[in-house]
Amino acid sequence: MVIQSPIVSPCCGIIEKILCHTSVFQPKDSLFLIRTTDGELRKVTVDYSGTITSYEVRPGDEVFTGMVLAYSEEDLTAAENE
Amino acid sequence: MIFTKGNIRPIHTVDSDATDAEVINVLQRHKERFLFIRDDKELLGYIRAKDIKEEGASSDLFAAMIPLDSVYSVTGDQEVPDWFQLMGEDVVLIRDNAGKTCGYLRRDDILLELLRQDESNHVFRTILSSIPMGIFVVNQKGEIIHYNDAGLRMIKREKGEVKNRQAGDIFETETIERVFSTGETVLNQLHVTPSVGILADYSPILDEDQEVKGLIIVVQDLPMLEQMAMELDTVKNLNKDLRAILSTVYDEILVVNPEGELLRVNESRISGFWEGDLNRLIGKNLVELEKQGLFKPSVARMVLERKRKVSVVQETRRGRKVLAVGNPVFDENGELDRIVIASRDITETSQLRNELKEMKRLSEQYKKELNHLKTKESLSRNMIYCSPKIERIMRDIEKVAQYSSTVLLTGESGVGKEVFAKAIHRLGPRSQKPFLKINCGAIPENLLESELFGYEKGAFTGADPKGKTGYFRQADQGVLFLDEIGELPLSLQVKLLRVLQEREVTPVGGIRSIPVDVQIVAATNRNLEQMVEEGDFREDLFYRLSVIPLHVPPLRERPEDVPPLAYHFLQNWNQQYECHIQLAPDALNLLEAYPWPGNVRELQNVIERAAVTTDKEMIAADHIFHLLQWKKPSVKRKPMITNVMPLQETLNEVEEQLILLAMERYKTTTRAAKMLGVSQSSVSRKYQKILQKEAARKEEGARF
Repeated sequence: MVIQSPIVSPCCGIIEKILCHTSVFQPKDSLFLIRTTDGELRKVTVDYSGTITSYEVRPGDEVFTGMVLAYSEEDLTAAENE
Repeated sequence: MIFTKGNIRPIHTVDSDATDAEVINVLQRHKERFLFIRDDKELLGYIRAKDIKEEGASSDLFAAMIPLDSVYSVTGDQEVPDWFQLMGEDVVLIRDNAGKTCGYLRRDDILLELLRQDESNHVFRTILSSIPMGIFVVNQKGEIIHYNDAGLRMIKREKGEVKNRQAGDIFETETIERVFSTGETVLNQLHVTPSVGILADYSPILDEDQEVKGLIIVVQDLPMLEQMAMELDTVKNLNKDLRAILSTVYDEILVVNPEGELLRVNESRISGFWEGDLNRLIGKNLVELEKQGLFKPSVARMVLERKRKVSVVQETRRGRKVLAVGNPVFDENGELDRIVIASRDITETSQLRNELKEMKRLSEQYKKELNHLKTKESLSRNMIYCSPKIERIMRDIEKVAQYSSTVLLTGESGVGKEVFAKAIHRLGPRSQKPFLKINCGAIPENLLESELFGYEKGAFTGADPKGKTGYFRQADQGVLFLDEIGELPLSLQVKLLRVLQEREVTPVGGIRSIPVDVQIVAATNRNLEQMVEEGDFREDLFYRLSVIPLHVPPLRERPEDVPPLAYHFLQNWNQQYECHIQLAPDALNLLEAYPWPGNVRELQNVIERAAVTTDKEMIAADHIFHLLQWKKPSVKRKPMITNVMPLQETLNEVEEQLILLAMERYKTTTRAAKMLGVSQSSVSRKYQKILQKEAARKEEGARF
């Protein structure tokens, strides 16, 4: 079973780097690096495994809290088998 | 036509220097449209009455005057063959044969003459057909009596469809009626149908009494209008299709203008997001709604700021979550023209995900518990018991298994100490790690140290050149079962003590200590305390091992465990050899009565022996009886009587003692009778008699 999930920004800032180089990711993998408005670097992670289906931002893009950074498919079957 | 005073209009003149009053006076007196101007007796030209009224000053007479030089004139008796040539003139002067102007004709006079003449038809038809406008002449009855080809083309009709047909069938009935009733000219009436696009002027035909005798409809073809009409129709259809498509879309679609105002929405609604009817918000500014806290953030604002597609998760103050994707639409100049927002409720998705996570957590927990139960169940298949004594030990073992405390299992040989040691391993957190057993009494003393602690390369002659990892390191993070610990040589006891104290081992030939994490379960059938007293076992090691002492009682002290154990061994046998051998109830009674000096191991052997040697599927008591190692009376001594007693009384006393002893030892009258060498009925009768006698004695004692 697969469900569509948006990966959203937890803070305001600028996309410093996209860390997920393959479309497949695991729980706690760092997917994005954001330089917050306070100047701190913050990693974006999710607590499930899945596949990135599309990126909505690029390095240098300004983002804000709640903005969709990417769309992913959460593989619940894989999670159940873990 | 001959022009006479009767059919031409007289010339009314004013002097070129006439005052306004004189001019107006002449005009009012004669009610003519044209007034001629003379200078002395010579006609100079003419002016239009309407120009005089408009100009209103005599000084302007010359300015408004049309000189006679430019006016067409004919001689009175001159035939005019081509009247149509005069149609375009306002005024035509009539001169007499002397060339003197004697009157004039107006355009309408000429037209009347044209109509009167036979050739007028083709002139008018030519006129009608040559002008690029449609003309329809309608009589007083409202019927179309004349029309031109251009008109037919414009209204896309054939001749037969128009001639004598009610004009209202083709044009606007209301307008036609209005012209007939009011006599007014109605201009620029758009007449648009899916196939026709025309602009029509409705002009009345008035008689001299200003009554409407008919009307002329002048039609202009408007191909652009027609095209627009058709495009409009196409757009209407597209709009209809678009609405149908939007109504089937699951997402809520919002269209917003560049000011952030909501223009239109589709029929899909996200329940509970807008706090009311969304249609009520049409015209409202979404950015303002964000400021009011209805939701945040506003995707419309983000698109307005960024001028590109933005996706965002919006949340209302009531916690409703919506995934909104805002797409900008630009005009031909590249300016932002519209924002189309597609929103989808993800509240349920989020909730479902959370619930799913909770379910997964519970599932994991249940899985763990299930595994634990499976382990217990698997263990229970090996741990066969029903006695309270073993039940109590198992409760202790479950507790001990959760920790790494050292356990000392004591008990006679064959009681199943190893089974209990394995239970400690299976029930604890080390169950996935190794369980190693070493029999301290079975390995030669000189090898035991290297087996336990391992050795380094070249530690001694004959050793493996690669060295060896001892049992302690192999059992790291697991359980090491040291069976027959009482057989451990004193020299190794001290080394074992060090391992238990320091939790590290030093391989033979090595100088480096290696930390180990091992739970020690030791077992012995010997009395270690006595060995300590006798100096055969180190006292400090005894206490180090005896952290959790567990004594496994012999089988004779828990006869209730015999039947389940016997069934278990027999079932294993049946499964292994696909047999259906059963135990007879009296055979089971016999097994319960047996003291089992060899404990569980002996029981297992007896069951196997019985199963092998039986000829029937049911193992009878007799068969079992012969397999058991009953203790024979060591010496058949003759009973010694030292006092002289009455013979019968003595015989009765001896008989009673013998029966009680036999019943105590062999439990059943059948077996007791067999051992006493009398019939079962005899033993049963006498035993009942003895019991009654004892009961009477007790009752008597209680009375006194």
